[in-house]
Order: sequence, then structure tokens, then C-alpha cells
Amino acid sequence: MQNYPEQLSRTHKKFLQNLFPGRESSFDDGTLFACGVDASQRHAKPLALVRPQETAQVAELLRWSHEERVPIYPRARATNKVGNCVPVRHGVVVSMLDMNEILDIDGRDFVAVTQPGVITADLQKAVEAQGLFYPPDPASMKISTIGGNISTCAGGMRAVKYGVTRDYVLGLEVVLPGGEVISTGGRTQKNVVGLDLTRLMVGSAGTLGLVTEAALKLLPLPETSASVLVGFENLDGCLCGAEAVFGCGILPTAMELMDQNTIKALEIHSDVPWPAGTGGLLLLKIDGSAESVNADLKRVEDALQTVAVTFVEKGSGADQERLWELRRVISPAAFNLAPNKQGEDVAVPRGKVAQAIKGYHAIGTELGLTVLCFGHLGDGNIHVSTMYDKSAGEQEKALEAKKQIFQLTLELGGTLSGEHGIGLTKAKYINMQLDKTRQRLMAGIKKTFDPLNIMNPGKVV
Amino acid sequence: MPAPKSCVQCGKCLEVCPLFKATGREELTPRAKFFLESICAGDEPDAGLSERDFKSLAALCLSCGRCEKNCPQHMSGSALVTELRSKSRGFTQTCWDLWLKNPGLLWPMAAALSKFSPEILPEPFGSARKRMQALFSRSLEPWAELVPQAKFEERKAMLFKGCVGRYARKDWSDKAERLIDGMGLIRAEGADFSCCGSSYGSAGLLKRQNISRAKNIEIWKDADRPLLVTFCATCLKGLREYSLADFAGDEELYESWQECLTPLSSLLPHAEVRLFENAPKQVAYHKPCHASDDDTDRKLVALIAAERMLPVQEGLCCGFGGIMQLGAPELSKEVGDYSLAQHTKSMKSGGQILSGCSACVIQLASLIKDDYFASHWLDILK
Repeated sequence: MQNYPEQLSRTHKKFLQNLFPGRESSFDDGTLFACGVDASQRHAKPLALVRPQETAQVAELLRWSHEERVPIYPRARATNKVGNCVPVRHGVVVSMLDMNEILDIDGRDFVAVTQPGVITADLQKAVEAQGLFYPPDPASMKISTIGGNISTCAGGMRAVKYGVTRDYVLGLEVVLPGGEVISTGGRTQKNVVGLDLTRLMVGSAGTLGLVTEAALKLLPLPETSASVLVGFENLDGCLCGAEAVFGCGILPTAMELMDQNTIKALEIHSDVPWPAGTGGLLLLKIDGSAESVNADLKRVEDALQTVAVTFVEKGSGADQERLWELRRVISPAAFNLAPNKQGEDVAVPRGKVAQAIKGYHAIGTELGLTVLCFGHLGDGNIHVSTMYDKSAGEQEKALEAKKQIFQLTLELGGTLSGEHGIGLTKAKYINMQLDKTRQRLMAGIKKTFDPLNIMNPGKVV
Repeated sequence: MPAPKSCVQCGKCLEVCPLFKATGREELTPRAKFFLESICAGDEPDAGLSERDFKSLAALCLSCGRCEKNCPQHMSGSALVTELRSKSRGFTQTCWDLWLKNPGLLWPMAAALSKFSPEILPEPFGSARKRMQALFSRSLEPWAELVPQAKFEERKAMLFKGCVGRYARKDWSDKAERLIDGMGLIRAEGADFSCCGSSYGSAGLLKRQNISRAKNIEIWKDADRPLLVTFCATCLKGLREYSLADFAGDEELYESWQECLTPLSSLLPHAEVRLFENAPKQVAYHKPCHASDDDTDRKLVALIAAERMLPVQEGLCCGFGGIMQLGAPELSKEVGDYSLAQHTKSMKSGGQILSGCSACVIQLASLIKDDYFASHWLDILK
């Protein structure tokens, strides 16, 4: 393994304090520990935390760190689940939270330019105030940032209709190891000159460079939207309902599924609108003009006539948020079932979802663990959470479940991760999906950008 | 059976934590506090975080309670801090020492300090109280009159003045009593109430909190269980938090107590409002962290201000933070400044920020720029 400094020399510290004066840098234990953990619950302690205010500081930092071989760990609000923010080789954590300005919203270009520390929901509110729309909506959108969303290529519930973060990044300003600042892409909606460096950066988890500015594509804000929460007796009914909706000729904005175990976790966590005994839920959203939403809703209702439904609740306008809030809290609410969670976010081709979910449940039953399946039924991206109790020695069984879940996913033509990435927690499974040739090509790209491996070392993308 | 609660580092608390909002410092979030606690207490004794380092960071909490409401697991950052403070030997002493060393620094805390132990206030308190009174020397000209429409017959009431209403702003208490009289409520006789207990609680002074609670219950019982009328959201919250155990398990008495707790503003929903010529053009309502779900102060301010009222901004904390001012006054100020900047963003000179919490009013009034006013809604009443 490459050698990185175990501690900062006096010169190092002085350099960082000069470049990041006062509160822009921290070296105390409490602060360092606190910026070394993320939602994966893995942690490591960095040597320093810095908070750049402008691109020039980042460029000077990356010039220095390249020269001194000091690892750089970009960080925003650390809501990612695979350990991408954990400074496993110590180094310097770079918090982008102070670079949090929306620089431009242009209704004629349909472009917003932002710094990385802007909270996604805040950007959405700001563009919506001008009749514009930024669709990617990861469950963490109220707490996660554009920078984090770009580095993980965050998805979200509206991906069924609108796609994911990479579909909305037109251009980036990126600081490369060594301190050079490059611009990729631009403000145009089309651009086929050169290889697509913008797409390469999106989802690269801070391993190639550090994003300091982004030009994002906007759409006109849909006039209205409506949501429907539908209950079914069991998973089979739920999947039949989903088939019926897809078969009726409309593309919902979002279509989410919750299985019986997910329902149980939510029932412990909060007041729920559905009746006891509900074994499966579908949550749908439709958007567009008032007329088209009404017409589409009618189609959905007609389609659901053909299947056995136990409960239907509709919401429109601000009122539908309460339905979606239930969806957003599943991930943390799952801990009501067991103290430890091993969360996967596999994706399979849409036609294989039913087979996949039944298979994941069977794996859980076989191993005696609770497996929750929920998430983006509409685009085949299923969150599979294996709940277990570490203190009761169930970790081995959970790891076995993980392996079997991955195996089944790949057999069905799927991928190990649709949204969260590989990072630390799935690093050792990468060979299951990517062969040597593809890994060699990717390693070559990494080396071109970051020959000394200072950007987020220790992680797999 | 649900699994035991623990922080899963999801970061939902980042959305609401006022310390984080104002400073952007992740180490101050509830998420960080829970993580640092786990490192300190946990499986890795060599992790390298000393208890002292942990406590000095963990103690920085405004006790607003927002994180608990937003947490999918209902983890409470302020409860963690209360527990730490209560277990920390010498914590109270440290606070007193700090106070005695820096009375000038802490003048906005004067009211809260009275809460700690009004009977043994050392001399520096006197001067602090004077400073606080000076704070209100730029007092508002009343610009409205309320004529209560509610009429009570034979119903007894007592005003729970709170420490601010008792020691620093007797004019608030006088106005509140006039409104109570105007509704035909009969003022019950009784001894002076003690602190509601809220500040003792967040400071970790649980023994003192219990003594206060017991005294207040006794006074209320002796007065034949009158309505207990408050004009401070934090006092109301403090009084509502009394537990069944405080009533020695007497459920009937406990329920009666809860029923008697009455925010003054809740008695005035249909009051007739008369505005004077000097009414300001813009009024903002500062929603206290401790406001109840049915925030009747907000409704009353909306009734009085009508079209002058600016949209209420949710999620702003004044930064008062009780005892945190003793250890980190600069942070408390930073949060207050942030909150005021948001309030005054679309406010023209002469605009007023009204609230229904004594602590919020003290904090905002002490930090607000000369172009604006911050006050209790009682201040604007004739």
C-alpha cells in the first residue's frame, strides 16, 4: 500500500493554517472525528479539516497535497451510505459547505449555476420560484448537497420519468490534483466535442478531482402533480398493481414500492394512513398540466380496477408531501426492526423486479434474517435492507445474504448499485460485476487524472 | 419489539439544527454529538478522544429540541446534553465561576440567571439586571389595544410570570394581569411561583428542577387549582413537561394541571383590535423553538398585525440557548445574528419582530440593529 503521512508536520500545519485562516481550518480531536464519519457509520480520523471559501483555495490546496502526497477527502454533508466520505488514509477532509451560493438561474438558457455546498432542496425551491424545475430528488434532498449529488450521481424517486443527476449536469468546474482548474462541458444542452468528461466526473466520488462549480440543466416546472398511495394485501397484489399501471400507457413521475417488512418498520415509526394487515404498498406520482394529470389519474384508477386493492389515498399540491415523507423516512425507520442494517441498492431490468424481490425475500427467510425491499420499482432500482443484530452474532449471516443478493441481481442482468455506489462497504464485491479489462481501463483513467492517488484514496468507484 | 434507539448518522438533524444552520460547523450537530459519544464510550478505548474534548463540544447545544422532532428515531440531542450536564460534577460550579468572572459579558443572560437561584444572587447579578433593564430602555411605543371578548364567570386564574416577568419586565406582568381582569377572571391569591424548571432541566440541574416543580404545584394546589396563565412559550413548555411522578402518581391532579395551563394568547382569539396611527408597516413573528403545535401567540400576532404581517419563517432559532451562553456566548450570538438576518431580509426600516417567548425577546432585542425592533407582543399593547 502507498505511504501517506501519518501525521502533519509543523510545516504542513502552518501551510494549511495560512491557506485556511481562523475557522476555515480545524485540527482538534472532536472536530476531526466528527468529519470522519458518514451515513455508512464507518469512520476514520483525518489529520485536518479545511473549509474553502473559493476555488483558488482549493486549487492551491490540491497543488500542495499533490506535491506532499497528502490524501484529499472531499466532503459535504456526508449522507452517502457506502463510506465515500470516510478518510481511511487520514489526510485532509475538505468540507465544501461554505461554498454554498447559487450563482445564476437563467430561465432563457434553462441553466442554473451553483457552488457544490448548495442544498439540493434549496436549489429546487429557488428555481421553482422562477417557474423552473430541477428534477433529481434523492431521498436526502433536504439535507444533501448538489456537490454530493454530483459526486455520487444521486438518483431519486422521479428518475422513472426524468432520469438521474448525470442527466442534468451540463458543465463542471473541477480542480485536478496538482492544482489545475478545468471546465468541462458548458451551458449548452448538446455538446459532442471530445470525450464526455462531465459524465466521467459525475459519480466518480471525488476520486478524479474536486468539483467547485456546476452548470445544471433545468426544465419548465410542471404545472401540477398528484400522488396516490395504494395498499395491497400482499406483495403479489402489489406487483400486479404495478404491472397494471405500466400497462395503461402512462409514464408516472415516480413509482415506489414498499414490502411488508418496510410497512412494519414505518408502523413502528409513525402514524400511518393504511389499515392494519396491509402487505404491500405502491406510491405513485404523476405530473404535468392540470388536464393531463387528471386524465392520467383516471387511467391509473381504471387500471387498478383490475387488481385487488385494500386502500387508496390521494393527495395533490402540498398535501401529497405527507405521503412522500413516509417514503423518505424508511431508510432510518428500518432500524426499528433490528439494530444493524446492511443496505443494498441493487438495480435490475424493470421486467425482472418481481422475480428479484421474491428471490431477496427467500434469501432472508433461508438465513433467518429480515429483508426489507422498497424503493424505485418504476426504474428497477430496489433498496434491499438486511436487518440484523451484530451483538447477537448475526453479522456473518448478513454478509452471506449480501453475497447471495448480489449474485441473484447479476444473474438477472442487474447491477450491484443503482444509486449509492461502491465506496468502502461494497469494495470487495466489485469483481463480481466488473471484469479485469474494464477495471484496467478505469484504473488507467484514474491514473491519468490522479497519478499519485491523492483523491479519496482507499475507495472503489 | 423495537430495537434500542441509536443514532444511525443519517443526517436528518442537519436540516433543523440552528447551530449548524448558522455556523455550518458539522461538529456541532446532534449527529456529531451522538457519534463522539459512541467513540468516547464505545468499543474502541484507544480511539483517542478524551472525555474532556468530547464534553466541551457536546455541551454546545441550544436545547431547542428541533432535532428530536425531525429524527426518524426520535433521538434528542438536547436530552443527551442534559444528561451530560447532570452527570458532570462541578458543572454548575463552572458556570457560576464563568458568570462571576464575566458578568458584563453575559448581560443577556440576566433573566435566565435569575432562574438559577434568585434567592442567592450575588452582587454581579444586580448590575447585570441593570444592564438588561437598559437593554429595554429603547422601548416601543404601544401601537395597539386589545379588548378581550372572552368572558369568564367565577373562574379563578393565576398569572405565571416566569423569571423575566417577575424580575425584569414587570410591565409585561402588569399588562397580562389587566387582560386577565378584562376577561372577568378572578385572580387567585397565592405565593410567588418559582422557575418553571425548563432552564434548570437543560442545564442538567435536575434536583433543582424537581424542587421548583414541587413548589409550583404546591402553590397551584393551595390556590384551589386556578387556570395557570402564561405569556412565555418556554415557561409553558416547561410547565407542560411536568410528569405524573411530579404529582406522586395522582393522575387526576396531573390531568387537572395540564388542563389549567393556559397561554394568555389562547384567551384572546376573538379580541377586538384597535390600532393606533404609529403602527409599523411590517411585522414579523419569530416562532420560538419551544412554541407548542397550536401556536396561539402566532395567531394573536397575525390577528393584530393583519396585512402588516410578513410570512412566518419556520426553523429560525434566536440562539439564546440557556446555559450555553455561559460557555459559548459567541456561538449564541452567531445564531441570533443569523436569525435576525433572515427576519430582516425583506423588512424595511422600522419593522418590528414580535414573539411570545421571554428568552427569544431578550436575545433578539439585545442583538437587533437600530433600524428595527424586537419585542414581546405585550410590548405593543397599550
